[in-house]
Amino acid sequence: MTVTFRLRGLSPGLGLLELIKLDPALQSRSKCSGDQRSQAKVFVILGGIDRVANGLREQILLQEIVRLQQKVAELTLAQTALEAQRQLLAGFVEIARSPINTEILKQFLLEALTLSTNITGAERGSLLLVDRHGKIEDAIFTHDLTQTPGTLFNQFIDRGVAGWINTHRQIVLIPDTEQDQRWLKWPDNQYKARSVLGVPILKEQTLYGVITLLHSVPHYFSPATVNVMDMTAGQMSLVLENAQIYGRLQRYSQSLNMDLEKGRQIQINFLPAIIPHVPGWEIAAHFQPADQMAGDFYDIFELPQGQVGLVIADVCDKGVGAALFMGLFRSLMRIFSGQTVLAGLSVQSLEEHQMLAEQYGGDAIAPPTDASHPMRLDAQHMLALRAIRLTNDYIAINHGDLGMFATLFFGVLNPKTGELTYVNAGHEPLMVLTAAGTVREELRASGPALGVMPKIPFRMRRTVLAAGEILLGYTDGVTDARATDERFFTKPELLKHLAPSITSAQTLLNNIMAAVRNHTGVAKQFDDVTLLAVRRLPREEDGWRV
Amino acid sequence: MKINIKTVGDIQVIALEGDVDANTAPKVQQHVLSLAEPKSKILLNLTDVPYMSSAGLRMLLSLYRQTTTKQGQLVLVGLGEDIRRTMSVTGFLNFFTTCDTLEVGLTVFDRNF
Repeated sequence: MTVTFRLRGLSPGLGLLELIKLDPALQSRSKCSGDQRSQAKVFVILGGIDRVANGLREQILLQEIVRLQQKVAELTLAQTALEAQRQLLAGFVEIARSPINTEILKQFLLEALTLSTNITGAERGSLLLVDRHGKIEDAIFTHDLTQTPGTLFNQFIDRGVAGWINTHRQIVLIPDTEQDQRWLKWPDNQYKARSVLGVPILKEQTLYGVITLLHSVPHYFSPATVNVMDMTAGQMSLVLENAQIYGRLQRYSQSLNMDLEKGRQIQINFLPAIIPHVPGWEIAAHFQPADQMAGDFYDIFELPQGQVGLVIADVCDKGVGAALFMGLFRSLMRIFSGQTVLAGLSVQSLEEHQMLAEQYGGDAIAPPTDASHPMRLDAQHMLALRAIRLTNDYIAINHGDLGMFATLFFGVLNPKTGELTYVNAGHEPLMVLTAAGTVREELRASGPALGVMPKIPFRMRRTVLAAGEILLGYTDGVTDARATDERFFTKPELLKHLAPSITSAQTLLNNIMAAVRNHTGVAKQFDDVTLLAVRRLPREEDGWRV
Repeated sequence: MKINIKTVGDIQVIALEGDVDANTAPKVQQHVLSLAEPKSKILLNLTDVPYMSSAGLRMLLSLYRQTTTKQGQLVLVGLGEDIRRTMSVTGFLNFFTTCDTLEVGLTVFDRNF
């Protein structure tokens, strides 16, 4: 309104610039933009003079320059932030590439801190890392401290700038420490900080750390610096979050691994440390668990009257549970077969043991019914084999609700005669091989797996190993060994690797294992693998009998 | 491993699809054991199970015990050649009622139970 009023009183032809020069009120107003433009339009319409338009352009250009200056400042800020992010990202990638390593993480954090001091122009900086509970875990400084504040660690951050940040979860800018109570001065500190910028490293309200940047000049850090640091801290929080999660995971998995390793050592102790030397015989075993803990086992032990106990077994399922039951099955078999009586460890004598066994009923273990074995069974062998029945009942009665069971072959060998009396409780048939590698007899299952059902009968059977013959037992980890294309090794494949001749129990097992490994290739071992070979030496090799 | 549970009359029909091994058996056991209520009739269809490890047999044994103690009935159908052989060697076949097909399996439950 005022403008139009004034214009009426002016002579035509007077330029806008002159007009502005003449009028200080209008001059000051010309700095504004919004309504100025509409006012300018009025001038143009009324005056229609070029100079008016020229002056207007000048004004617009001035405004444009101001706008561009702002833009440049914004871009510089974005550029600085981008550069900071790029450098942080490089460190991030390095951390992601390497198996998490405290040294690399610490190096990254030091670089991030140095970067923060560089982009803000701070003289000094520190980075406090806090754990999930808000306790100080680690501290990194850009400068050497004459006195490392050892008392810093394991304390809650509840004081000073860091304490304020922990409570408020936002950036704090202290223009002058003299005027601010939040800044705590450390005693004996020569360096006097006047400007302080404190930045939380936050991700979804979880505080991972606090960066504190210092300068000796008050009012040093600008609001733009605050913005850059806000973005930088956002990037760092990603790395720290990952490192913390990974660290927790790694600590957990390490302790789990240590426990499993201890378990493995204990389990190995359940296997015979050395295979007993039996004159006239060569005994070899191979045991290869799929994981640290296994359900497979084998056992070879001396029994009363010079007899030898032979066991190969596979406890169902895998891992720690199977391994616990492996220890139980193995020990029960030793105790009930009389092995511990021999070692002087039984609570009852062998005679008492026999009476106990008879109380279970004579039919429990039935004599062989097939006509191929008309000979009487060895009484000593029968006594040892009662371990099958007792172990089965023990597991089924005490642990039935777990559904645990084991397929188990237990044979008692008379090394002088080659007579072998056995019970095969649901295990893959063992094979009696001739020296030429052909299968002379299969020792098939004579009862169900152990632990399935209490009070069920197991048949005892008998065979005789001739000189040069081999008893070969395996677990299904051998025949079910999978190649990368999921194909099983299979029993026919196993039989192919027995011929043309067997000169040693150990060599036989080596050959089988080589064939299995050749079949599986790089595929992960799927199941525990156990092999047992018992070879009666031919007369010419048998130094004991000569 | 897919577990498909449906009801045919008063029979719970559980169809498994995939290998039952140490990795999958716990999941199967969790689903299947919860169905073993007093006097329940359960049919487990194994037609689409190519491989069953000893962990799978353990699951079967647990299910067998549960149904037996709760006076229920359990029928297995569609056992593949390998599974049948494993169950034969371990003596499991002697404890279970097995049928070749689902149709036959549905008819063997004791109706007066």
